[in-house]
Amino acid sequence: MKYITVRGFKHDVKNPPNRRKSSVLFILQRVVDQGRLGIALLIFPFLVAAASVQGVNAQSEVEKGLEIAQKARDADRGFENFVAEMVMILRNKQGQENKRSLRIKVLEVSGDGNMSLFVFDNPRDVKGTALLIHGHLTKSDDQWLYLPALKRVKRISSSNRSGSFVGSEFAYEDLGSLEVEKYTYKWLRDEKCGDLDCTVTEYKPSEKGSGYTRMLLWHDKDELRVWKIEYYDRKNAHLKTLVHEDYEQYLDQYWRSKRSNMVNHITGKSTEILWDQIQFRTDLNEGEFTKTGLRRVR
Amino acid sequence: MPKYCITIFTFLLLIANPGLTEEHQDWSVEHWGKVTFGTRIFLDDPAHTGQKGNNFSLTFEPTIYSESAEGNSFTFTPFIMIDSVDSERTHVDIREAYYLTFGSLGESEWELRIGIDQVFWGTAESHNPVNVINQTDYVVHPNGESKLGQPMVHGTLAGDWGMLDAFVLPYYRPRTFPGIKGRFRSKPPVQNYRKQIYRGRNNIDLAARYSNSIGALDFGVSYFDGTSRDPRLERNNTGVIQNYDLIKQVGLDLQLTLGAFLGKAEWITREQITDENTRSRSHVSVLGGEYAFYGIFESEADLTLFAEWNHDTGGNSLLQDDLFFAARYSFNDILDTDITVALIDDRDFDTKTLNIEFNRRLSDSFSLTVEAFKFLEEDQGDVLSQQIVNDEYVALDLSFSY
Repeated sequence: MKYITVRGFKHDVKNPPNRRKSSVLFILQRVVDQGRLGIALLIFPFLVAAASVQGVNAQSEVEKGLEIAQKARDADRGFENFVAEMVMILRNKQGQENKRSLRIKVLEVSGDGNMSLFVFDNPRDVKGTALLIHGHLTKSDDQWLYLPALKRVKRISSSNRSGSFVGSEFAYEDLGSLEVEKYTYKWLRDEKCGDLDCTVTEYKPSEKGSGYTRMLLWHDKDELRVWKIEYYDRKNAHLKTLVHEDYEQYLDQYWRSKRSNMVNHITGKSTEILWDQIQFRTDLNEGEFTKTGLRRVR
Repeated sequence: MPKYCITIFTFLLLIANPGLTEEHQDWSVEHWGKVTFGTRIFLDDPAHTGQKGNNFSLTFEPTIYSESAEGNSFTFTPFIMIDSVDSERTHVDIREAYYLTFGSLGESEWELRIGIDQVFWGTAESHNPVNVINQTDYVVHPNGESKLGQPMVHGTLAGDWGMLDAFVLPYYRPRTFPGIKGRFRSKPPVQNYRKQIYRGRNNIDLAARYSNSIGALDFGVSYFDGTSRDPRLERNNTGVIQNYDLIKQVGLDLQLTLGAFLGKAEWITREQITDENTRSRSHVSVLGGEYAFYGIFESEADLTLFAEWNHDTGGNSLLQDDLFFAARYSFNDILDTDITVALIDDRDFDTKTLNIEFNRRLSDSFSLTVEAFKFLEEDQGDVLSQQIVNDEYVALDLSFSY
């Protein structure tokens, strides 16, 4: 199992990256600021050339963004299923902690979105409560909730995608897989993230009901792992940042982060997710992801 | 503890015995449960002679769960309630004691549950007429959501074509009613030990339900042939007695999930056979829905509004022609705080009742529920609700879950 951690990952939100021309000027400005006028003059013709192919670039930025999203998805294809245990540590501004622990099962479905099953172990009063999600590529997901005290399977609305998942800083839409069909893309720039070379890509949700106008994703170029996501709310304010750490590789192919931290910049609250007992290609079957299977959950 | 429960559970243990002894290491055992300390403070003096005032109660509902490596399992959940006032409320039941096994059959999967279990059917919030498998444990809470364990053999077959559940129910349970000292009772109280059942206890009840999800629609069609779970109460010279008639019932429940709106409907048609010469037919329906405003007032909180219309041509329930309106405010905070206000408006009489429920978690193990029940309007002509008109209360439940 390979094991890598990227530390000292920097936040960079002030640089408005989605305008090519301004970033060209920005580089020029920086070069000038650093007193390297000679170099600037030397590279100036190239910068002009870069700016003049603006129209072509706009197209290629979209294509490049889509390509990154597709490659990231393809890198994760064929995993069949995985199971894991997850602890969520909810922290408020004062640092008070509150824990949730749950078991997760995910089944890959060819030609449609993945199916997921979340079963709660903590807090104890919701022990055995389970959420079944049938993800879809283009239409909205189907969700059922099992309430063990009432023995009731209830179909619930999946339109609350921007709502908080069990009081955490993760919204429902943050937990589902990033289906390629549900976003539009734009590659913004390449930059270092820690020791790795990363791309920064803008994802715009195309489905109604998302809490975000856009997200910025940092993928490393080698393995297409997501290292950071910045979420911008409906007013385009920087709402949250998610950082993934401690990636481990399974079956020599699939990378999973074992530690993620979501910080809400508006409220100062944060939620850390710790993963454990991750197993791929277990002998679980499709029957566990049905309403009958949901009733069996303990 | 009811004798039959012990018999059945012993029987289940015997079936499992080979598994438990030969491959003992393959069976994992887990346990969890809940202890609740409750108190109800009644706002008025009791209406009926013999009734007492405020009460305390302690309930304990532990679950022992054992699962084999293949996923077959035993579940055992006894229920113990001790009440400071009402001896009928002090009772023991077995909510669950069943063996579960399942597998696949071609493209479909099957499941078999043998023993005591609880089954919920329905979609509505105020009342679930289609929910016919388990008897109501009325003494626990007048809302009737607590159910007694029901012995059964329950087979399921499920596939792309939907889900089919079939039940053989070899025993019937009478409803629990408060005793002479208890609240929420008639005058005189319903007798718990003198029931009359048409065709006797040997009747084996049968039930089946087909359900499926097609796009935004989830629906179930059910059939029940056996002893009614709703007693026909009859006043005689010794008091009020429970009569259990034979019924044949067809039910339909559906839910339409359209974004933040859930449309819900339940409907049953029931043929009730009181004796050889007396048959009657009734229809019970609930129609309504809920709508959620997510992230209301730019906060994390959700506001969900409910409206349902209850109609019953048979007159077995309090909800003969009643409107139900409710609003739930869920704070979506780390303590899962929510508050629900519900109003029931009886259109036959000028009776209106108000229910308020507040839930909040106190820690990983402790949680608190505060509930209030009040009549907003009382109608002297509404004989049923007049029996409980002095039973307005505030209740406080502190639960420890482990």
